[in-house]
Amino acid sequence: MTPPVESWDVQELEARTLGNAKGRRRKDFEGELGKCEMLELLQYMCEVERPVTRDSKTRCWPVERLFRRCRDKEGSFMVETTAWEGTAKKI
Amino acid sequence: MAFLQRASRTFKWIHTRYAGHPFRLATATLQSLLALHVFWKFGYSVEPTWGASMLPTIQVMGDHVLISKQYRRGRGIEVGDVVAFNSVYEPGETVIKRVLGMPGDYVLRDTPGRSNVMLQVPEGHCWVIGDNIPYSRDSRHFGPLPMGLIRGKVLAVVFPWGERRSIGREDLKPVEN
Amino acid sequence: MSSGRIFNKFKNGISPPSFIRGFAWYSFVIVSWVPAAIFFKNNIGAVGEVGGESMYPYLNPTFNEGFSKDLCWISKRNPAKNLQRGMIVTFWSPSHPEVLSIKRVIALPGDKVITKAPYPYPTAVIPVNHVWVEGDNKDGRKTLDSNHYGPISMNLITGRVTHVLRPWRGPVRWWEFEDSRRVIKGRIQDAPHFD
Repeated sequence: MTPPVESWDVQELEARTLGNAKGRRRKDFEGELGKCEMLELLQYMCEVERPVTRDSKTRCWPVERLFRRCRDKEGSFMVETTAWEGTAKKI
Repeated sequence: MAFLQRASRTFKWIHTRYAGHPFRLATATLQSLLALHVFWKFGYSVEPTWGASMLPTIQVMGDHVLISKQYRRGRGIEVGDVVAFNSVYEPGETVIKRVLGMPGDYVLRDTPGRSNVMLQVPEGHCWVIGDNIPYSRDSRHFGPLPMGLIRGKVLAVVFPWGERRSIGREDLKPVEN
Repeated sequence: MSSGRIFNKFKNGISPPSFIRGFAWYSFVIVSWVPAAIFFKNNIGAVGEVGGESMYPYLNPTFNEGFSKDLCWISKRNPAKNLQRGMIVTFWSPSHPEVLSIKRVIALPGDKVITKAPYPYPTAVIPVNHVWVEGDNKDGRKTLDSNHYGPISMNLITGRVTHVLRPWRGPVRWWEFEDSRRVIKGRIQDAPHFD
């Protein structure tokens, strides 16, 4: 991946949300994701019957992605919580 | 009636100015084409799409989308928006995907259910995923997208006219707790 | 054609329609050339002012001594086509998408670079359609470049600096750039693709 970016397990999520994009501690935010506004976006797993044309039969299964819109001193930021509280959590 | 008179006067003026003056006509045509080009590049354009990665939001072929270039380089883009950007790996290609993270936001690195690994989107970049998850090559493969590559925001499907529909942030909906 | 005759050709028979007179008409004529100017600036070339000291000493060598910044000619015609190591390019910065950066291309797809701080890995292999860019300034703190944000996609490149105009130094002789000892040249066939 370019640029190099650190990845971590969802267990660290609450702690990681304490730092902003520049690596500095967020002001006015204590990591309480449960208090942030919850939002949902549906994406899909689709199968298109061959031959693939506009009129081919298409079947889609929804995949739910959950987000929390949290606020800090500078504004708001989004946290994807699909793996933190969603049914897609890998047990 | 006054409108028709003014209109006919305008046409007469255009005729006297350009008929038999090919140099002037060529200049005016060139200026008009360049004005259209500037409108297309910095204002709005309608472009055809192709591919299964944004199903069911955009069909595999035949849908034409309205793109607003005022959102180029990511200005004013938010999570949930669908953007058109210059491909990271292919010169000259435009790619359309949905934004799931802006700089500083936190996103799942892989397909939901595949792992619990997350990352924070770096400064100047965003995280894009196609709506048809299994058929999309996106940030899961090429990493965070530099916003300098974004050409604009996809506002709607405008052709076929009968299937026109608005696209974007409205798909990100609040959940009743 | 002399410029006088060209001007007359424009003016001949130009009596503006009776409902737009004088100043408004001439403003319209000027404005009607703005799209052509924009097209030229984005597709042919433009004069650019060099902002910082990341390309010291080649560009802005007097950055700390006065207020004048170097001026250069930036060619916009297919800037990413046939890029060579040593060429100086302008591109939208990966860290700040509204900022145009000027840096030198150090490595091409397939090359392996020995990186400098703060890059998190000791080496980097340049993927397909990317280049590694660095400022000439030996002081790493004075330049924000690929050592911070990794290789950049060639589709971010907007222009190529072909001439230094002020102070006049003529064409940029990118071929004289000393091959960096930190670049191990590779073949484009070996460049990683994301899939």
